[in-house]
Parts: sequence; structure tokens; C-alpha cells
Amino acid sequence: MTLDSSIIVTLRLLSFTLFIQAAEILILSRRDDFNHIWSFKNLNRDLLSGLPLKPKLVEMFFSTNGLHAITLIQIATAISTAFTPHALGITVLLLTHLLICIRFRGSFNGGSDMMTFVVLTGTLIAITGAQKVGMIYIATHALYSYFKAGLAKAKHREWWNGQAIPAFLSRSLFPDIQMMGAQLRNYSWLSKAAGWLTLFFEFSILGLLLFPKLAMIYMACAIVFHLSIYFCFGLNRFFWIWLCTWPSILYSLSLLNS
Amino acid sequence: MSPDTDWRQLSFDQPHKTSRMVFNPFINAALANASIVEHFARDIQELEKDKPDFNPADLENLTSYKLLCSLLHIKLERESPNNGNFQFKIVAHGTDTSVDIYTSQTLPLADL
Repeated sequence: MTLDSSIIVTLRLLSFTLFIQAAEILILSRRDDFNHIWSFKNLNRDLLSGLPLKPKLVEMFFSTNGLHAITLIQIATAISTAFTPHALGITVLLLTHLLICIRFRGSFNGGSDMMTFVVLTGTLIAITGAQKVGMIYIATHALYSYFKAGLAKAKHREWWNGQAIPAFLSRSLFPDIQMMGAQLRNYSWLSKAAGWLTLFFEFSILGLLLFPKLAMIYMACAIVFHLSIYFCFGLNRFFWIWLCTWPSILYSLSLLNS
Repeated sequence: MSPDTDWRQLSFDQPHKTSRMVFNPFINAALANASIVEHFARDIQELEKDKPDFNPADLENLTSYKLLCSLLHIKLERESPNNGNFQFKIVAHGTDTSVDIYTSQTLPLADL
């Protein structure tokens, strides 16, 4: 993948992802039950004590009306950035994403929020002139995220003895997946194989540095991996934001090929 | 806590629809709500460590406690709108064992 095409594809995918994220919050913030739980009244103590802002500004940004305004700004900016990429648009998206993360205290899909920051930062670096640096920045974080996830799992014996995947599946929000987790306990060889396969997949990302030509095959496996996580746990945001990182991974690995 | 307390598990279960690949707001909201319980479990353990003789005001000042009470209000009102009082406990489940992390006082539903 060329540098220009990786930047354009990343920008379009990122705009699409941020559009989805903002639209989801906009839909939820119009529901009474959601507003009752995530009300400014419940959150204001943390916000007032944790932010170096005047109370009026805190209320302006983090009240329900403030949240509506922020999500609408994010939607409009995401659409405009998809068609006419500019540094100001990316900066606005970075700010709106930051405000949304602060408001929900990292509770709204924590890991995908962090990767959204990485892709936004890398894209901003790329669009302000240091194109190569921006793409390599995203690729480094994304490659390391797979390896780090494998490392975190490998420390727990449950991932080696086959107990982890049934336990995770039983914590899904979907009753059919919970049942699948319970049934998988009866097939220890299968759950052990699935655990080992997950570890192998996440650790083998480093192999791409030695064999960059295998990048497309690994990307196909990564898409299947993220789709299966979406299917089992409903984490659509993880799928989209990790997909955003693949153009920069493909570009960065192509540098090793040449 | 009465020994015959009828504990019921708070459910975050959602219908499984695979067509929500793009827009999935209600699952994401359910995940965010479930994470409130985890945040509260962490906060209460920290509070007990830092201040073993903490008073009700310390607890009520926790943002995760406020979020949890609002979440319980929504859930309980939906399930049993006429039930005046309730009590909750947080239980951590391991692969083989379960540990009670916190058991609340009896609380009036109307106050939440």
C-alpha cells in the first residue's frame, strides 16, 4: 500500500468510525433511562474536582445538552473530514472524542476509545506534514496492541488450560453465547485449542516484522478475529477502530519489504 | 441482612442480533452500564483499604455509587415497580470460588 492511499483510507475509515460512535451516543442520550443513569448530577462531583475548568464551563460541556452539541459537532466534522481532509477537522474530532471519554469516565468501550485516540493522533501527525511518521505511529501502536493483549493473556494459566474462553463467553450479554460457553466446558480439548490459537494469533503479529509479505493473510485473520469478538460480545466499536489501523500497518510493513 | 434474603442476579442480557455491526447503541449502553458495577467494586475496595471505618457519606460521594444507584433504580423499577425497599450485594466470581465484596444497607427505592 502506498503512503498516500494509506492516509486516505485511514482518514475515510476513521471518519466513518467517529460518525458511528457519535451517532450511537446521540441516539442513547435521547433516552430517559440512559440520561437518568449518566446524568450530569451523578457525574458532576468527579468532573468539577478533576477538571481545571470553571463550574459553568463544566456544565456547558458535560450536561445532556452539552453532550448533544458535542455529538452533533462530531457527526458534522466526521462527514466533512471524510470528503475534505483537513487538520482542523481532525483536531475537532480529537477534542470531541476527548470530551465524550471524560464524560463517560472511560466506561464506553475503554480499549476502543484508547485506539481511537491513537488513530486520531497519528492521522493528525500525517496530515500536518509528517506523513510517514503518522502512519508508522499508528502501525506501531496497533502491532503492539495485539502483542500486549497476548502477553496479558499468557500470564494467566486459564488461557493455557482451556478455562479462559468458556469463562469469557459465559460473561457475554447474549444468552446464546453464555450457553455456548457452558457447553464448551464439556469439550476441554476444543476450548484449550481455541485459547492456544488466540495466543498464537496475538503473539505471531511480531512475525510480520520478519515476514512482511504475510501481512494480507494476517489482516484477513485479524478481521475474522474481530468479527468473532463482535459476534460473541457485541463490540462493534473494536471492529471498526482496529480496521482503521490496518492501512497504516500494511504501509509500514511494505517499507520493510522494500 | 436477613439470612433468608432473596438475592436475584442483576441481568444485563440483551437479545443477540448480528445485524448491528454498524450501529449498536443499546449493546454499547448495556456494556457501559455493566462496567458501572466493576467500577464500583474497585472503588469500594479502595475505600475500605484507605478508610476501613468509612461512613455512609464517603460512600454516597462516590460517583460509581451514584451511577450504580441510578442503574438499580431503572432496573428495579422495571422489574418490580411496587417494591419499596431493596438491598444489593456485589459478588466476584472466580473460576472455582465466589467472594462477597460489598453488601449494602436496606435502601428505599424511592430515594434513588
